Parts: sequence; C-alpha cells; structure tokens
Amino acid sequence: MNDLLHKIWFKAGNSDLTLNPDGSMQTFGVDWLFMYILWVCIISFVLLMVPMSWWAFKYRRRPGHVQQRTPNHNTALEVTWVVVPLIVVTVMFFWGFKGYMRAQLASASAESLNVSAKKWAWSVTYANGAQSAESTYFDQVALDNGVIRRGNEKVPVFIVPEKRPVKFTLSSVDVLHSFYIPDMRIKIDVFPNRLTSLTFTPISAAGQDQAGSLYADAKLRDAAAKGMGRDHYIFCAEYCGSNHSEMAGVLRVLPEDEYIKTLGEWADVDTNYVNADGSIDPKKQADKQAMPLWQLGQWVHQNRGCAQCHTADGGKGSGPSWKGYYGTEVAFEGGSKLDTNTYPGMKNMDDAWAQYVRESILYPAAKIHGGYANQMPSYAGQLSDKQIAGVTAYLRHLAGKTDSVAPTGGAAPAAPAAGSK
Amino acid sequence: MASITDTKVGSHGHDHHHDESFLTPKSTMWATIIDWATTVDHKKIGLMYLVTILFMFLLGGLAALAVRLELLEPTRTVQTMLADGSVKTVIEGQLFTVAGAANVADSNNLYNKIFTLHGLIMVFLVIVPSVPASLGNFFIPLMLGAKDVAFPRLNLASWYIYLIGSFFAIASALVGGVDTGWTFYTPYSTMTDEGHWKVVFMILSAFILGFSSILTGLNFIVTVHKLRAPGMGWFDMPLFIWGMYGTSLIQVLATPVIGITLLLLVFERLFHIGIFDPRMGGDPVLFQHFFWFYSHPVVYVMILPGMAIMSELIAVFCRKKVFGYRAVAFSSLAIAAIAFVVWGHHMFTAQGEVASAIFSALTFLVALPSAVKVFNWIATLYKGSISLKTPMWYALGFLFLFSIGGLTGLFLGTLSVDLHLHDTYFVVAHFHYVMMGGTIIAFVGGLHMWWPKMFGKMYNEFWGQIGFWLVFLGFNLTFFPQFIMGVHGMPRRYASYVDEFTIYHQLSTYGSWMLLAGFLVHLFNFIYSLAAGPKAPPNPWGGLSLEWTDADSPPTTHNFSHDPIVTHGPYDFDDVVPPQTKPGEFPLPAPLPAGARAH
Repeated sequence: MNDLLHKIWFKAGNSDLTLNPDGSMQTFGVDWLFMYILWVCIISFVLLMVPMSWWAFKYRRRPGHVQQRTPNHNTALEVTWVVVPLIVVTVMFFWGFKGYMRAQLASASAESLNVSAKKWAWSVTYANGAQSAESTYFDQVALDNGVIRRGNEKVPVFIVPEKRPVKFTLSSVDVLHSFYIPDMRIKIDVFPNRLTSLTFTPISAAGQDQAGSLYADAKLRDAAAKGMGRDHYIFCAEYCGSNHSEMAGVLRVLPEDEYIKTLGEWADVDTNYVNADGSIDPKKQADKQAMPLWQLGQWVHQNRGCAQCHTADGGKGSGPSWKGYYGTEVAFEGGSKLDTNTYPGMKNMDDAWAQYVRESILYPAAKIHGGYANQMPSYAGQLSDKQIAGVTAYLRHLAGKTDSVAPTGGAAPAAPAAGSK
Repeated sequence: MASITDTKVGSHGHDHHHDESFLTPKSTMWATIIDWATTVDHKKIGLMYLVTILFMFLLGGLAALAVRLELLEPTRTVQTMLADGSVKTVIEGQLFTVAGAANVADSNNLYNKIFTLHGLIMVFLVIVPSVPASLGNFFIPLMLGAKDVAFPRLNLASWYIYLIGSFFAIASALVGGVDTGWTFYTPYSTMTDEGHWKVVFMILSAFILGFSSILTGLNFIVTVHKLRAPGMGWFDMPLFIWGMYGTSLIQVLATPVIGITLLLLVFERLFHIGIFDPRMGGDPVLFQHFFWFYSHPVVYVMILPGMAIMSELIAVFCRKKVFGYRAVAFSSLAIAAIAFVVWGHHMFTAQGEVASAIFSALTFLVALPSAVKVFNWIATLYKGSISLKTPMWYALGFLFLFSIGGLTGLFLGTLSVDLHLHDTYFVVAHFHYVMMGGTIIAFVGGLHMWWPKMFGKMYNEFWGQIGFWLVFLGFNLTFFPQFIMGVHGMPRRYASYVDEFTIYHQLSTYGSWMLLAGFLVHLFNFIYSLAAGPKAPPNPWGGLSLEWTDADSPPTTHNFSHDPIVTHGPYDFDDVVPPQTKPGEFPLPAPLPAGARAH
C-alpha cells in the first residue's frame, strides 16, 4: 500500500537520488517525511469523513425521527482533539526542520558551480571556467504532421559529478527566479541583489531505465539511455515574465571520469580551436577539429541564452531574428539609423555592425531596435571578446556573407553617455 | 416550552409603508433606481454587493476557464479553425494564438495576463468582499436584531468605493492588462509595462478596494459591539456573527499595510524611490514581507466567513446547537490573531533558516483552531435531525473539501517538504481547496439557505442538488490532479509544460468545464426562482436566529416591526419550536417533550 502510494506521488518511486552533506539520503528523507504526512492526512481524513457520512445518513430527517438531546460540549474530548494533533504536527515540524537544515549546509569539499539566471535562461559556470556546451530538446512532441518543438530553442545541459557534493551558488541579472530540480526535491530563489546557494550530493549516474524518461522523442530517449548519465529537469519556479515556462534546463549526473572529461572538452570550446583574431591555429587544428569563428558564434547563440529571444531561422521572437539581419537597415527608437556615423571612426558598414553588435551585447539599452522592447540583459563580463566576435561572424554567416572580415578590434566601446538612446 | 419573543404582537395589520418588503419597487423605474442608488438600507446594499460580486466571479471564472483551456495541450495546439471555415494546422503558437498572438512570447504574455487577471479578480474583487459584504451586510443586523448597521451611509460609501476600485481593475484589463501575477512581486512588477499606466491602474484598484474593505470591517465591528438586541449577550450571538467579527478585525488591522505597500510600489515605479528594486538600492524580499504581512491574514479574511456560514448551515439543518460553541467562537479569534504571525511561510525558499523555522512552527499552530472547528461541526451532526437539502449538501461538501485543503497545508508547513513543493501546482491545488472548496462552497451553500429570506422565493431543490453534485465532482476533478502533478514537479504559472504532465492537466481542464456547468445550473435555478419560484415562508428551514424567527421573507424595510427581545439562544432547537407562518407546509419535527432548557 505504501509502495503503491509512493509510486503514484513520486514518478516511478525514485527516492534514492541525492545525499545530504552529512551522508544522509536527502531525497529519501523528504519523500519519507512526505509519506508520513500523507498517511497522517489519509487517516485523519477517514476519521473525519466516516462519522460525518455515517451520521448524515443515520440521523437524516425522516418521519418519526427527531434530534436527541446530547451534551453541548465535552471538555475532555475537546482538549484531546487539540493535544493529539499538536503532538502529530510537532513531529512534522522537527523532522521538516532537520531535513531542511541538512540540505542547507554545504560540505567544504563541494564541487562549486555558479548559476546565473536571466530572463529566460539558466547558465552555469564550472570551476574551470567552462560553460555548458551541450543542449537538448527535452520534450519534442511527435504528431501526425511531424515533430513539434516547444517554444524555446534547445535547453542547456548542465553536468554534475556522481557521488560528490555539489554546491550551486546562484545570482540573477534581472528579476527573481527560482532554481528548481524536482528530482532532487530542492529549490532556491535567485535574487539580483544577493547570492543564494543550494547543495546536494547526487548518488546515481546509472538508472538508465529512467534516463530517457525525460524525452518524449524516441531518438533522444535512446541516446540518453546509452550511458550519457542520468537526466533531470531544471525549471524556473518563480514567475519571471513572458517565457517563464520556457526557462528550463537539464541536469545530467555523470560518473566522475566522464565529468572531468566533459568539463575539459567544454573548456576547450572557445580557447583551443580559434585564435583571438578569429584565424584558426594550425597546431591546435591538428589536435582537434577546427571550428570557424561563426561556429563559435553559433555555439554562443545556442548555449548562452541568445536563442531564447533571437531566432536563427527568421521566426519571430522577443528580439530581432538573426537570420539575414546583418547588413539590413536598422532603425533605432528615436529615429536614427545605423550607419558609419553612428560610432566615431567607422570606415565602413562592417565596422559599424561589429561595433553595434558588441555594444548591444555589453550595453543592450544603449540603442533599441525600433519596435522591440528594451528588455535584454547585459552580457558584460559573461562573454569573451572572441565569443562576441564569434556572434558577429555568425550574424554575417546567417546573412549569407562568407568572406572573412577581421574584427576591428581596439578598445571596447565606452559605456554610453547617460541619457543617450 | 419556552416562548419565542413578543415581537409578533401587532406586527400585522399596520399599513405603514415600512411594513412593506424592502424589495417593493417605487412608483416609477427611475424612482426605483434612484432609491437603490442612494439607499442606506443594509439589505439593499448587501444585494447590490451580491450582484456586483457575482458578476466579478463570472469574469474571474471566465479567466480561469481560459487558463485551463490553454493548458489542455502541453505546448502547441494543432488545429485552428480559420475565419473562412478552412482548417489550418498551426505548429508554432498556443491556443491563445487564435486570439491574435504572433509568436511564442506573445501568446505566453496573453496567458500571463489572463492568469494575473484571474488571481486579481478572484482575490481582491470576489473572495475578500464576497461573504462579508453581501451576506454579512444583509444578515448581521438581522441576526443581531438591529434596524441597520452602525454607519449606514458609510456602508453605501464602501459599495461605491468598491465600484470605483473595480472600475480601475477592469480599465487596466481593457487597455491591455498586466502580467505581474496577483502578487506584484518586485522587481518584475516595477520593470514590466514601460508605459506605467496598466500596472498603476491595477495597483490603484487594489489600493481603493482596501478602503472598501476597511470601512466595511469597521462598520461591522461597531455594529456587533453596539447594536445587539436587548437580551443578546456576546455568547448568545449566532456563530456567523463571531466569524464576521474576526474577519472584520483582520480587515481593519491588516488592510492598511497593503495600502502602504502598494503606494510604495507606485512611488518606486513613478518617482524612482529605491525601496524594492535592487538597481536603486532596494530589496525585493522586503516587498514579499510587506505583501504577505497583509496577504496572509487576508487568507483568513477569505476563509473565516466561510466558516461562519458553516456554523449556521450545520446548526439549522441538523437542528442541533453547534458542539462546543465557545471553542468555535474563540477559534475564530485565535485564527485572527495567529494569522498575523505566519506570513513568512510564503517565503521558505527566500529567507534565512531561523526565520523559516519560526514561521514553520507558527504555521502548524494556526492549523489547530481550524481543525477544532471541523471537529466541532462534525460532532454537531451526532444525533441530529439532518435535512439533506442543498445547503446541507454544501455544508458536507465544505467539510470534505476543506479537510483536504487544510490537511495538505501540513505538507507545505513542513520545511524540507516545502522546498520541493513551493511554487508548484501542489500549492495551487492546496489554496484552491481552501479558498474555493472552503469559502466559495460555503458562500453558495449560504446563498441557498438565505435565498428564501432575501427574496421571499424558494429555489428548486432538485436542480439545486444537481448543481451541487456538478460543482462538487467538477471541483475535485479540476483540482485533485493538480496535487499529483505538483509533487511530480510541475511549477506554477507555466504557459506550456513538459509532456508527462499532460494527463493531469487534461483532467483538470475537463473538471473546469464541469464546474462551469454546475454554476450555470445554480444561476438559472436562482433566476427561475426570482421569476417563478414559489413564495417562501418566513422560516422555511426552522432556524432560531432572529432573521428566521422575527423577520418576514423578504424582510420589511426596517427589518422588524418591534425591537426583538432575545429569550433563547440561536441554537436551542431542543427546547424551542421555531415559529412558522404556514404550519405543515415545511414540516419540522415536534419539539422534545422534556422540560428544562439547557444552559
């Protein structure tokens, strides 16, 4: 009976997912307490409903039946039904408090991950400076007329090592968000003005039976089941605007060696293949597959949240689509247009575009594309110069320009003067 | 056998116009309209509140149906009927795409605005004023044996203030609506809507409605203190009055806090005074503290009136004195008091450990007086004479739903479990079981019980019960699946969701249609009753409080022909025969033969 109930309330009864820093089983602790409360509720509910139904039937008004005189109160009974519930809920309080405190205290040896939240994407920076380079569609819906995607582009995959404590330190660049991993039974609100943290120890990278349960699409399900690790949803649980429901991610628990290897690969993404000026380093090329600069830009688009608002296929989004955008006439709010006079010292439109893209990434509010809301967060400090150059190259690529233009380089644009549009 | 009162003596035979029903129209239509618009009669004001609140309930309900409709599919709707009759397959875009949204963010925005509208209307325009302003206004003076509330003009003013507040809310919705959620959490609420006016209008609406709430509460407190009929001590009052009294205390004490908070929000938005927005040196969690310092006590402003109605329903339809009268009365006050110190349980994921621990402990404490009430109501059934009419079915429905609502609160008060359940559909289901399964169910039950008294017409019992079963089953179908998907991890306020939640969302949406059917049955039943229902006697259910024993159905303009003198308690069914104008039409059991009154 208990098992059956547990399976109804928790998908497939998966309780053995994380440890507390003190070695106790965190998810199990929560589930166990949940089941205790559930049983208290069921028993209480039956104890209330059975006499209610029975008396409502037995003493129903009918010819010849009158109410009978009974005591109007009974002190002993009334004290009992205050004291007994008090004891029952006191137990809940203490166990709940204990479990809560255990989940709050991080181990000193915890793997430290920094989470940055913005409308509407999560990003994680790992201890070696790497950021997630992988993403997935986690719930494609197959219909008769083909595959239908969710509204977001892909969601990022974040990795954590198996059987080692991890500590997430979280901050937001705009509004409140809440980092929620249902399988880990944990969530914490994310604020723009202070850091919050949560910690747990994932204990299982195995469990392939459940690895694929995230994916409605058979291909993804098979891939997940082929030893990539165990996947869990990440949601945003604090309402944060238009695409609140699209602000998601996947947490993947990997065996230690896989984890180290993947992190190394992800750190490589924009340091090893391409030189700072965008040219390809032949020596590095010998080691790894070459990645043209525009591909780095594509990678940024997919993995740094750009895709949440800027589509790459011409579809509508909260911001202008990047498809064919480069080189078109851009009218700013207030009437001015992007041209070689927009910024001082621009020799041609390519220069102006490079500067415009860079400024838009670092100081999004400086110039607003007419017809779009001023709502993009700044990426200052989050993208390297080379990644920004990559974005420009990707925009050129999407506009069908394949000739290589070296970025103008030079100093980053000064912060726009106060009051400028 | 005790006598009732001496008020009936000479009450008939006067042809003074004050002996006419308060519903009697004036000579011309305009005179009638002006009479209602300028009335200081608490009964007319109560009815005007009732009509406006039911209208708002309809609007909020339509928004809820739209929300449920959007969630019928995880993400995209496949088929859209075009205007020319051809069917086009739509791949990008949600159900609301039909309403003209151009892309995902736009259709999400539409969804966000509609669930915000649903929350704002249901909280500020419906549930907070629902019972006190309509049934409370109508029945508090009648139950106390008074001619009117203490400040009749203030009473009319608070209705007009309510109208003005509603106007701002609807104006805000009509010019585009807000997407802040009814909680207005900062800094989102100060950043969204760059034109300012939509959000400012909505905030202004909640601010103005607060005044209506405070004035009504103040009026009731003074009425209860000063206008009780001769012979009615505090513990001779019907429990409905006790519930209303507790409600009014909270309204008067807590509502100013939300007023101040909302003003600060407007100041920050328009004048850039940094209070809640971290970019200006404010703290967003401060807003949450201010907001819930009002909004948690207000949860009890919403549920206490439901409990107040329950005590009357159970007593009248079981013909028993409510078991443990004093415990029920004092639990109303205990709830009102503890309600002020549990606000932090809305922020377990946002505040420090010590604060969370204290608020968790206090939260469990507030569960006890609520539990006491449920125990007492059920104990009242014992050896009663239970009339299973629509109002009693609603009372039993309340006990069923409110028990679930209350018990599921235990999960949320427990810290470690709440870390998982906070801001999921579990919370959504929990508070709908309490707010709707509690307050709205009791409200509809009370409406059925008092309908004959208010309008002098009986409703149709058969259709009343059909309506009850549709509402009761529809409610459970709508909200029980939400508990399960909440534990599975479905967050709140999502316009789209991952596949595995589809089945629960679909059940929930089907349930919402059933709920709609139930409420429509009640609506038509009531309209039919007004048009062609049989005339109601003064005391169709055999109640013993003054509105049944001493007032006509519908009451006369001045309520009573003489000041009632109270000679028995409101629940002394064992000793007193309720008077009836037409004996035998609504047969009641004979009084108990045995002698002395219980004291």
